[in-house]
Amino acid sequence: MGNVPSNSPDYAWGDPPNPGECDPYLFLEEAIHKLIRNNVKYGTLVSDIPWSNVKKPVNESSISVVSTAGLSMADDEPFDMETERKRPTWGDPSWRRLDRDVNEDSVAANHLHIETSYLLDDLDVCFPVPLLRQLQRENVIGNVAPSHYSIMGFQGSDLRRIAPSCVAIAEAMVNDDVDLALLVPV
Amino acid sequence: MVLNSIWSFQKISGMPRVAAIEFPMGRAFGDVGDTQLHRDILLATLDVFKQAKLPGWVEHLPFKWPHPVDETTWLPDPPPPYLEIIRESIDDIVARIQERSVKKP
Repeated sequence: MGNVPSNSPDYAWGDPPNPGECDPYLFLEEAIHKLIRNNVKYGTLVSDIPWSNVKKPVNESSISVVSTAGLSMADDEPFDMETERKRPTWGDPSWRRLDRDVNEDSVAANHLHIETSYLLDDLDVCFPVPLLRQLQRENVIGNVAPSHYSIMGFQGSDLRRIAPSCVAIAEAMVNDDVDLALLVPV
Repeated sequence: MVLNSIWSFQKISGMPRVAAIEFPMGRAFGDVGDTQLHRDILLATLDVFKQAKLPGWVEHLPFKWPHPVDETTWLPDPPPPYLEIIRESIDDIVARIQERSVKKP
C-alpha cells in the first residue's frame, strides 16, 4: 500500500526501509551507495511537488516512455561518450526521439554507467515499448504514443544543463496528445 | 510516473508519482526474457496512476528480484570513469555534503 512519505525528521527514506518498503540501495556499489545515501540523508526535502490529475483510464490513454539509458535509433546520432571519457564529471545533456516501432534491432545504447547488453538483448527490461505495443493489441492501454524519448542519465555536476532537453520532451509529448508518461531511470 | 529502484531520491527531487521496485539499475522490469514478470511489473506500474491520490505518492511494488543479490551486476566492465574519482574521494565528498547541510538555514 503506497502513501506520501512522511516529512517527519525521523522518517528514514529507506535507510533502513520500513516493513513493506523496497530497499533503495540493495544493488548499489559501495561508493555509489554512500554518495546517494548521504545526498538523500542531508538533502532538503522537496515539498512543492508538481501534479496533474489523470484524465482518462489507462485503457483509453496514450502512453509514452522516457528512459535515461542513452538510447537512440540506430541511424540517429549516438550520445557522446567520448567527451565523458575525457571529462568524467561531464554527461551528454541532449535527448533523442525513438519510434513507436523501436525494437532491439533498431535501437542503440550509449551509456558508460550501465551494462547495456541486457536491454540490447531485450528492450522490455527497461524500455517497455514492445510490451506496450502488445498491451495495445489486447486493449489494455489506449495506444502507444508515436514517439518515446531518452536522455543520458549521468549528468555530472551541473543538472541545469539537462533542463532544455526536459522542456523539449514535455512539449513534444503535449504536441502528440500523450496522456501518461512513464519515466524509467537506469 | 517514475518506476525507480532508488526511490529515496523522492525526498530531494519531488517526483509526482513513484512506483518503487527492488531491482538492479537497468532492469527495472526484470531480467532478459522474463516476459511474464515484465508484464506484471508494467501493469502494476500503470495501476499506480489510479492508486496515487496525492503529489509525492510512493507505491512500493511487491516483486522480488529472482537472482541472488551478490550474483547480480549492473555496472559495465570497465566501470564508468567517474566511479574511480568517487572511490578515491568518497569520504571528502560525504564531508562536503554534510557541511553543506549544516550551512543551510
